[in-house]
Amino acid sequence: MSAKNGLSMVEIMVAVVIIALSVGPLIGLLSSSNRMSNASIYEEMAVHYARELSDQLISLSPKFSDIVNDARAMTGDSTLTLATILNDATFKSQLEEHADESSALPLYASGNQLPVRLIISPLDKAFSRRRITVSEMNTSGNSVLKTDRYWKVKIELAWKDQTSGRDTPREVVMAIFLKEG
Amino acid sequence: MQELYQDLKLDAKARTVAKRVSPRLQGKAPTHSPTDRRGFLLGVVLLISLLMAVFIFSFNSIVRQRNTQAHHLMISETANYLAISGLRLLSDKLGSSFETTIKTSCPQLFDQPATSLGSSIDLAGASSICGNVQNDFQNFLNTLDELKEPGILGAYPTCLGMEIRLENLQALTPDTTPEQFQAGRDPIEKCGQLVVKCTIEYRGLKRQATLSRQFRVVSMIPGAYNRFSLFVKKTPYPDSYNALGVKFDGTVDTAYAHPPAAGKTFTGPLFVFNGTDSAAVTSTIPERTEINDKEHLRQRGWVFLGPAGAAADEAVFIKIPSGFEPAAGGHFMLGWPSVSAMPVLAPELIEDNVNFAPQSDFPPHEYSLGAKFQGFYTWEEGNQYGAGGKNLWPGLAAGSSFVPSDHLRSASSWVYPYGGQNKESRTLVVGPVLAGMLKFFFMRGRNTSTSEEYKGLWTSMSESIFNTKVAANHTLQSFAGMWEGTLAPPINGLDFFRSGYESFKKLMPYNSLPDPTPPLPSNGIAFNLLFDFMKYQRDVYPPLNGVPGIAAAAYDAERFLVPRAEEMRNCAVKGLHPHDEMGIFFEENGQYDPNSSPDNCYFMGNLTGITVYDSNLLSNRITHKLDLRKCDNTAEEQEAMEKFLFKQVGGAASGVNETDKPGIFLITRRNGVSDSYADALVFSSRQVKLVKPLIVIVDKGSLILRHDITGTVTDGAPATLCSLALINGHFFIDGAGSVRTLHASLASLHPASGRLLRPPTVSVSSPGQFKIHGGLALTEIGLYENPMNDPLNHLGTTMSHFTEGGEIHYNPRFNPSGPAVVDSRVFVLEDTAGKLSIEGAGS
Repeated sequence: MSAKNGLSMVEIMVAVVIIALSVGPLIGLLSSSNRMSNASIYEEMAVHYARELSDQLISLSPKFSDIVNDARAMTGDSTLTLATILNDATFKSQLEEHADESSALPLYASGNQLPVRLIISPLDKAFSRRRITVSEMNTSGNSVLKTDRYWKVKIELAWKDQTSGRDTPREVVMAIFLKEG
Repeated sequence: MQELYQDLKLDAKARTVAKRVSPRLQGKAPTHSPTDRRGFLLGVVLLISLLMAVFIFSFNSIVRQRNTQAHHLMISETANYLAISGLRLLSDKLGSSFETTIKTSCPQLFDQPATSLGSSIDLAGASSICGNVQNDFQNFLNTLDELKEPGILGAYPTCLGMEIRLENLQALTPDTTPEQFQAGRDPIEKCGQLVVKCTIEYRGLKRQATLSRQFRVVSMIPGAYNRFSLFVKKTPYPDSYNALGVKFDGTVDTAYAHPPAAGKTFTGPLFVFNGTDSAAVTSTIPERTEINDKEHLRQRGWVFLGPAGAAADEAVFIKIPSGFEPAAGGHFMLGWPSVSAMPVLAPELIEDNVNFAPQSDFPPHEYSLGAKFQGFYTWEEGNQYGAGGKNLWPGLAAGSSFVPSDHLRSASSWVYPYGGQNKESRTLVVGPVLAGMLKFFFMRGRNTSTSEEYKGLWTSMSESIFNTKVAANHTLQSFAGMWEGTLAPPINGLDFFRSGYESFKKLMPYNSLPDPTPPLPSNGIAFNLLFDFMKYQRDVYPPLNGVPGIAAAAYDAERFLVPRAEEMRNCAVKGLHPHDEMGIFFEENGQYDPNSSPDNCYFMGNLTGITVYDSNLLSNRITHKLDLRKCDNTAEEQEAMEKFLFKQVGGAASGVNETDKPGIFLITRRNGVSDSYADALVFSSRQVKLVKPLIVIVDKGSLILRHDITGTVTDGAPATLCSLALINGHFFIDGAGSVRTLHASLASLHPASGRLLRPPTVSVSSPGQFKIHGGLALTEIGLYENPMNDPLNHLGTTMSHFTEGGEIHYNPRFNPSGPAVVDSRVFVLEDTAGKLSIEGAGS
C-alpha cells in the first residue's frame, strides 16, 4: 500500500535536491538584492544630505562677505576667512551628530556663534560622516575668475551598511565652487 | 514474449487512461488513485522554485535598477551642482565685471534703442568671456581629485561650454508724450532677460544649468537736473545769492551785513565750477571758432536759478564779481569778444606783474583811473547792447521789443567765459536771472620822470591802503564818487542800486544800468555765488600793453558775441534763455523737435516742474528695491540699508564701505518718517568708496552724510557716478572734519523740503564747508531767512549753515549731452532670483 499510495523516496529526494539547489542561490540573490537595496537607499540619503547643504551654501554665497565681516568684527580677527568658519571644529562635530529631528545649526568663528544657521536633516545612524571641507582655490592661472576669492566646498557623506558585512564604509562626495561676496 | 509484454503494458496504460477519461466522457467525475500523485510533488516543487526564482530575479532586477538609479542620481546631482557652480560663477562675473566686457563685445546695447537691436543677442561669439570663464572653471574642476573617474585615464568633470544670450529686449521708456519728455527720456534704456548656460560632463553624464535673469540697461544720470552744476528750483528772494561781503582785494568782509537778511553776516562763498578741464591758452593755440566754441560750451554744466518771490514770478539778481584774489580769482573777459561771425576769443590772462605792473606809489605819476565792466554781453542784430539793451524790467513800457514777461524768462544767458586759475568754466545760466558784472578798475598814465606809459590793475591791494590812496589824491577822489542819476522809468531793485546798501552800489548790473561812471569799490562787494574765475594763459594775444586801453570809448560800442547754441535759437529774445519751455538734447544735429526726432530729446518741458519723483527716476528704472517698512526704528533701517548698498572692506576701525553693486536703488522707509534730523538715515557709518555706480533714492525722510563719499578721479572728475536723491527730505552734512567731500550728485526737489543743511545742534568739529564733485539740485538754497515768508525757515538755509562756504564742481559725466553719456549707461542684473533650470545636455 505504501508503495502504491505514497511518494517514493526517489521523488522526495529529487524534490529536496531541486529545492536545495534552487533555494540556496535564490536566498543568496535575495540577500544580495537586499544589500543593494540598502545601498541605494543610503546613497540616495547621502545625496539628499549633500543637496541640502549645497543648496544652502549656494544661496548664502552672496552674503558670505557680510558673514565673514561680521565674524571678523565679532572676533576681532581680521585674518578670518570663510574657510575658518565652515571648517570650524564645533560646527563640524555638530554636523555629524545623530539627532532625532531637523535642527538649525549655527556657524561658528573662533568659538563665537554667528547669527547664521544651516538647516540640516537628522543624520541616520548608519552614517558615520557628514562633513564640509572648504579650501581656497588657486586662481593664479585664471584669466577672469581671479580677482575675487573662490572656495572649493567638498561635502562628504559616509555610511556603513551593517548588513553587508563590509568593513570599508561607502561614501558620496559632492563639490561646489563658491565666490566670497 | 518481450514484445507481448510490452504490448500488454501499453495496453494496460491505454486502459488506465481510458478509465480516467471515460467518466468525463460519460459525465462522471474522475477518480484519482494514489499512484496518480507520482510526479505531482516534483512539479509543484519545480513550480515553486520557478516562482521563487522569478520573484527573486525580479526583485533583484528592481533593486539593481534602483541601485543604478541611485548611483545615477548621485552622479547626476554632482554634475548638477557643478553646473550650477559654473553658472553662478559666470553669472556673478557678469554682475560684477561684465560691464567692460559687454560694452566691448556688444556696444550697440548702450547706444542703440531696443527697437533696432532685434529681440535677442548672442554674446557667446562676440565675447571671449564665455571661453575664459569656461577655461577658468575647468581649472577649478581639475582640482576635484575626489570626483575623478576611476582608472588610469580617469577624467575630471569637464565644463563643455558656457553661453550668454540677451533675450526679449524692450525699451524702458517707449512713450514719446510731453509728460515723458518732462520726466526725461533716455531712449537707449532697456530691459530684457539674460540667459546664461553652463554645461558639465561627469562620468558620461551631461548636465546643462540655465539661469534666466532680468537685466536693465539704465543710465546713471538720474534726471534732467543733472545737466546743471547747480539747480535751484526756488529763489525765495531776488537777491538770495548775494549776501556775502567781499573786499576789493577778494577777501571776505566779515563786517558786512546783508540788509535783507536782517543784518545777517555770511562768511563763505559758494563757488560753482562748471567743468573740469583746464585750458592753457598760448599764442600758438588757434582761436576758437564759433562752432568749436559752442561745442566747448556744450560740455559745461549749466546753472538754473528758479524764479524769485512768493509767487515765483520775479527775477533773480546775481552780482558777479571779478575776483581779484590771486589764488582763487583772476580776471574774466579782459579780452573782448569778437563781432558776430568772427572767431570767439579766448579770454586773457592778465599777468599783472608783466603787463599791468601794480603801482604802489601814485603821487609821482600822472594817471587816470578807468573802469570796465567785465563779463558777458549778448549781441544781436540791431541791438548792440544785447540782452542788456532789452527792456526787461517791469514797469518799463518803452521799447519795441518789450515783452512784459521777458523779465521772467531770463536776462542772463551764457555766462561767458569764467573759470578758475586752472579751470575754465563757462556756463549757461537758465532762469529769470539778471546778472550784474563787476567793473574792474585800472589806471593808466605816464611816468612824469621817464615819460613811460604805464598801466595798472589793483590787485592784492588791501582796502586800507587803497583808501589811503583815495584820501590822499583828489583825482582819485573824483572817481570815488558814487553813481547818482535819475532812473527813468523806475526799476525794480532801485533801492539796491542807488540808495541801498553800499555793496550793491559798487556792483552795478550792466544790463540795467549802462552808466559809464565807474563806482569805486572800497569797502567790499556783496556776492555769494561765484562762477569760478579763470585765468587763461595766453602769451601775447591780445597785446594789452599795445592797445589804446581797455577803457577806450571805441570799445564801449563793440559788439559782443554769445555763442548761439541751438538750444537758444527759438528763443524770442536773442541771448535770453527760457526755463519754462526748454530742451536738453543728446546731440547737436539740428533735430530738436521731439515729435519728429524723439530719440534726440532728453528733456523738454519746464525746469520748475522737475521733482525727484517724476524726473525719470521711478519710471521703470528701479533695478533694486529695499523695503524697510517692517523695521521698528531708524537704527534698524540704517543697518539694513548699509548692508544692502555696501560691502565693508577693511577692519572695523579703518574700514570703508565699498559700493557693492551697480544699479538704481529705491529705499522704501517705514511709514511716519518725517524730514527731521532725528528721523534721518545715515547714508553710511564709514567712509564710502565708490567702486560701482549707483543711484540711491530714498522715498521719505532725510539723509545724513556723515562721511566722505569718494572714488577714483580721472580727467579731473569722479569716474564712478553716484547720485543721492530724496523724494521728500533734506541732506544733512554731519560728522567730523572741516570739509565734507562728496563725489556725488545730490538732489532733493520736493516743494516742501529740499535743502543742504547742518544738524540742528552743530558740533564745533563738524564740517562747515562742503565740496561736491558732481552737482547739486535743491528746492531752495537761500542765503538768509525771513520768518514771514520762508516756509522752511525753521530749518535754516544752506549758506547760512555752511559758514565756510562750499564748492560745486560739475562732473561732465552727468551731462546727457556730453560725450560720456554712453559710459553713463550700465548693465544691471536685477535682484530678482531669476529662473534656474537643469536639464540633460544631450549628446
